[in-house]
Amino acid sequence: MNENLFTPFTIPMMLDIPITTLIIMFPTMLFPTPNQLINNRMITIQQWLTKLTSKQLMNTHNPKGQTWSLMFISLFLFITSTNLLGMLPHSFTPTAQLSMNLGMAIPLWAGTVVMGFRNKTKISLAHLLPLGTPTFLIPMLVMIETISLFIQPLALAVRLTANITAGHLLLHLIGSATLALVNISLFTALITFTILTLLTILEFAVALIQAYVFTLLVSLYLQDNT
Amino acid sequence: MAKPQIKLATEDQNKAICRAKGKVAINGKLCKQSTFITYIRRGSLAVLEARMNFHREAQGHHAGPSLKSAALLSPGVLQATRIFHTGPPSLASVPPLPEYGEKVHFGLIPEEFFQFLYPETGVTVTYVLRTGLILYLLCKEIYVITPETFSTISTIGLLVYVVKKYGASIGEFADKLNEQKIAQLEEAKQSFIKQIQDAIDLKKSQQALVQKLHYLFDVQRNNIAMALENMMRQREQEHMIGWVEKHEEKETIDKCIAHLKLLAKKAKAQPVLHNKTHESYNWVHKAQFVIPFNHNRVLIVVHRVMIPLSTPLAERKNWNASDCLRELRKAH
Repeated sequence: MNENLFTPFTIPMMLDIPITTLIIMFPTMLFPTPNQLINNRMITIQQWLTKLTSKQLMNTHNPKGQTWSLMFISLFLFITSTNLLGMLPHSFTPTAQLSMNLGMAIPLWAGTVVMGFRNKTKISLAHLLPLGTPTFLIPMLVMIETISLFIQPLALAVRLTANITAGHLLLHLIGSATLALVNISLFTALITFTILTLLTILEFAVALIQAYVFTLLVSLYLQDNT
Repeated sequence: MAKPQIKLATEDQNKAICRAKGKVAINGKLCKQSTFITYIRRGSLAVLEARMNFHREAQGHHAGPSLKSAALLSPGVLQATRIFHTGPPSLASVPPLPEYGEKVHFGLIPEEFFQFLYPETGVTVTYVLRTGLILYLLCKEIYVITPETFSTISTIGLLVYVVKKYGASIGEFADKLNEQKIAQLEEAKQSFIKQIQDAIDLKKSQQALVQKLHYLFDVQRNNIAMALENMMRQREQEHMIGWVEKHEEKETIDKCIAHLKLLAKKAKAQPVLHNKTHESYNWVHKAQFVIPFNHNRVLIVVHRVMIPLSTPLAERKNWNASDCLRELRKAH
């Protein structure tokens, strides 16, 4: 079924048509619109979590930055849901594809930077030089800061991709180790299986944390530039 | 195959069946079982069930309260096929949808499936089906054991464990959140009602106060009268003192003093009249005691006593001492 290690990461096809878009659109079905004031348990818990996250994320921003709340919350919910759904067996995780993460990271980062340069040009340019540098280091430092600025979207995308992909790969590898050991020595296989369980727990945590980190960093870039 | 002869049940049996399966109305009247079955064309399970019922009836089995009729298919079918009910709604009540679903096996297959299979296979269907299916999938390599199998086992096992352990408490937490919301709104409503109630009570008490306002006016009138009386007393005292100073003769003074002393003693025995307004009495001053005040003057401390007199106030303004004494003697 899986010829090589990276088959889980290939684009899923149905009748030779890539169905990635459908898979990306699927998590929206898991967040139904609240229709009444008092909803069912699922919606209540989702609302409570959303409120908690949004408060945590947005209370450090000024009003101008808080206009981005909807963007951040939907980003967070999307990444969380896709990561968690990818933990299910034989499922496909869109966020494990670099193309998709770049597509999320670059526009968001560019948005914050362009906003900063348009509204507060001097301050944005001043960010390129840390406080208290000796005079002869200034040209080099400006270059370094510019490079670090342009690395930010790449870092965002690659961080998320690497984490998710690495997690899935590890699970797969340790699973194959267990499979191989089952025929040799059952006890070692059990130990490996325990490691696998622990790793699964870690993976669930990573799925949530990575989403949070992504959103947090974009919000930080926003704060710098608002 | 020839259509099996339908053995129509007796009236009581029919009623029992209808009750067990749920009455359904077609064109406004309760129908017999056969019509019910012919009416429902869709819903394969229902049709299967109906056909099986036919079959069993044809073989002489009673379709009484059996496991199948007690199953929850029937009300569900009734509710689901509501769109096909073209006639007016039934006067008899349709059994309600059950509030909670039945037990599910593996979270996927409802209990009704096994109930449905019960007549053919009996109780062992769950176990045989489960085991057989799994073995079949594994042996024929339809489900291949890969490294992903183990991660599947760990993931699904973890999820099942978490749901079983913390599921109920999370549900209660959600219920608590909703209850808090409702309680907040309820409290707001109650406080609003209370506010309005307090306003109503205030208005009512104000209305009641207005009714009793005349007491206030009476008291004010009495106050004013007493103030006036005080004024009058002051004036009378001054007048008397002036008169006494004018006629400073020792003999007359001594006579006056003696008389006044007598009268003072008599006044102490007099009862004081209450609860009469100003117009019905006339005030008279009686000397309580006399203090010598300088060698040729006396200070007469008068005690105000209410006794009915014949002369009204207006005429007493220009009295002199003899008039006072005369009046006092008349009163006693």
